[in-house]
Amino acid sequence: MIAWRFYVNNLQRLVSYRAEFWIGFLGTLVSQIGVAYFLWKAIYQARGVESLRGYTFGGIMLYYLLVPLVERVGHAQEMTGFSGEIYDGGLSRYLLYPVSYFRIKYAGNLAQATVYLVQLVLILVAYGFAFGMPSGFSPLSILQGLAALGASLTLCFFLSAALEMVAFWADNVWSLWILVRMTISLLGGGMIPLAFFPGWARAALAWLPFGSLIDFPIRCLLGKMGCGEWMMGLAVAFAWAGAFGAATAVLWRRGLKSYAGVGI
Amino acid sequence: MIKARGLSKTFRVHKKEAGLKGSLRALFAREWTTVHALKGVDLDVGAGEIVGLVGANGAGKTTLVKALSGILYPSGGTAEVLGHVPWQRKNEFRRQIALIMGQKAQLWWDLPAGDGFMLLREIYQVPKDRFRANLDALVEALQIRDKLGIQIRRLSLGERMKMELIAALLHQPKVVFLDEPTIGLDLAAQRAIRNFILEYRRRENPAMILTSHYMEDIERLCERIVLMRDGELVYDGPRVKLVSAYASHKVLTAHLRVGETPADGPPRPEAGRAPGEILEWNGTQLKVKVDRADAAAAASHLLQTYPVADLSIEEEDIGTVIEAMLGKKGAVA
Repeated sequence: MIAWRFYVNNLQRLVSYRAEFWIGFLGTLVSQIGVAYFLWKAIYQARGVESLRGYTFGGIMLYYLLVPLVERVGHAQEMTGFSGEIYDGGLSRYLLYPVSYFRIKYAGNLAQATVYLVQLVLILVAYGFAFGMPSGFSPLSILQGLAALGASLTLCFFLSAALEMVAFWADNVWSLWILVRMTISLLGGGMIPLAFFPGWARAALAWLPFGSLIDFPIRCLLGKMGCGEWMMGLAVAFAWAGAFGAATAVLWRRGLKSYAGVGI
Repeated sequence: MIKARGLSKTFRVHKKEAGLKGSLRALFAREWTTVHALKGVDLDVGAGEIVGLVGANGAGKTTLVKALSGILYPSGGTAEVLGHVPWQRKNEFRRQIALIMGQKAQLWWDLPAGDGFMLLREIYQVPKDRFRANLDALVEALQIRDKLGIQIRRLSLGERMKMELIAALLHQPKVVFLDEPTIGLDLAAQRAIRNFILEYRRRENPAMILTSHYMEDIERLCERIVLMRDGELVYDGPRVKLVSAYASHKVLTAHLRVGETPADGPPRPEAGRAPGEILEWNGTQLKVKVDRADAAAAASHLLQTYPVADLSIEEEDIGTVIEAMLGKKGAVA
């Protein structure tokens, strides 16, 4: 119930920023697609083929359209704010509340994800009207996609939390986060779909957390995922989320012993 | 309700020389220094008490409040608040305390206060009826009902502080820490906040610790004062005793009778002719500071020398006494 109340309040707060919602929406649409269009157009023309690694040119465009939307739903490209609250003392008020800090923050993240999910749905619907829905798109793929987005959100939340706990000891975690963000973009399918990686790399990446953040939810939404593969993908995502969650718990307990609550 | 024994807190902070050279050097070898923010503090606060925690910046006041409210772990010593160890942060403990920070917003900046209060009701699990009754009483006392629907960031500082107070007291805490609750407020808002704190004390009988640099807060709210200097308590006792025992001077104010002075005006209280240090002289009022032991003789001198209509003898301002005490080395009491 407390988490629900935090979810609702964060949602209220976020939708009050209407300009951010619409500008972010349009910015995503224009910037991401522009670069990918010219690059992949040249590749498909040079190869003279209809389809590459299971993606038609239209399919690859849709993939790149979905990358920033999925990243935003899962928060794969931004920190969750733990480190900021450790640095500026904002954490102190949460330590006074008789409720888990991480439950509050997770509910806040979920609210933000809901706003971005609305953007994703709107863009997908617009795409469907303009170009038609991709062949694999179905109610099942929507359900698979939603579950995968939930897994991505949870994994990213604990990954970010574990990383940002370093703020208890280090003066700046931003550079560390940039490193992780670049790794997520490269190995998670943000720059190139993982289908274009060599077989041995795909086999290795299937057991790492990065693909769960971008490539996995997109392939689910595009209907490119069998049930077995989907369940395995979810299991990998939640296993990593559990591992990062455990690391977060250890770092949290130790970190609080050195927390100074500066800023008050 | 609050009991601390030998509470100490040490911070390790890194030191860097100013300028580019210092920054480059810090890249390879970092210099650390140890800061002793609390040095074996003993403190007891009972129900219904408002204790004024006073000291210069960096004396350890906020560190003590943070340790007692469970925000930080101490380096040594013990503390019990409502029978709990604060830094274990048990929910039962956290449901019974509140910390109000004048310099830090606790309510959600983008939400109207009313929504923030609903959230706090869930956090503290306050039953709906009790929440409604508490909110009504608090909102009426601070006369701020018409602002409940406005985003916090759009409120004035005084209005925001009132909302912060309501937010902190909605769950009827038994221990309240007030860290600079009137900072930056105008006189009317300061007065409203002080009256409200006194009213809350009368109704709920909580233990309260107040830190403030405004001496009027201390004078109006606290019967007991704890003075801190460099992480140590240098005085813990009644406010009245602090002034009577440690004030070295008294202030005499003589109001002169208009029209009864000689044609060339009243004799000017030049140095040597006045009974003490002249604080104010405007032709009709003379204010002098004298040693406590000389107060009677000085009053007599004023009555004989000037056409005095009214004479008052007052204790030295508490702020001056505290300033003088904090300047001295060694424990005072």
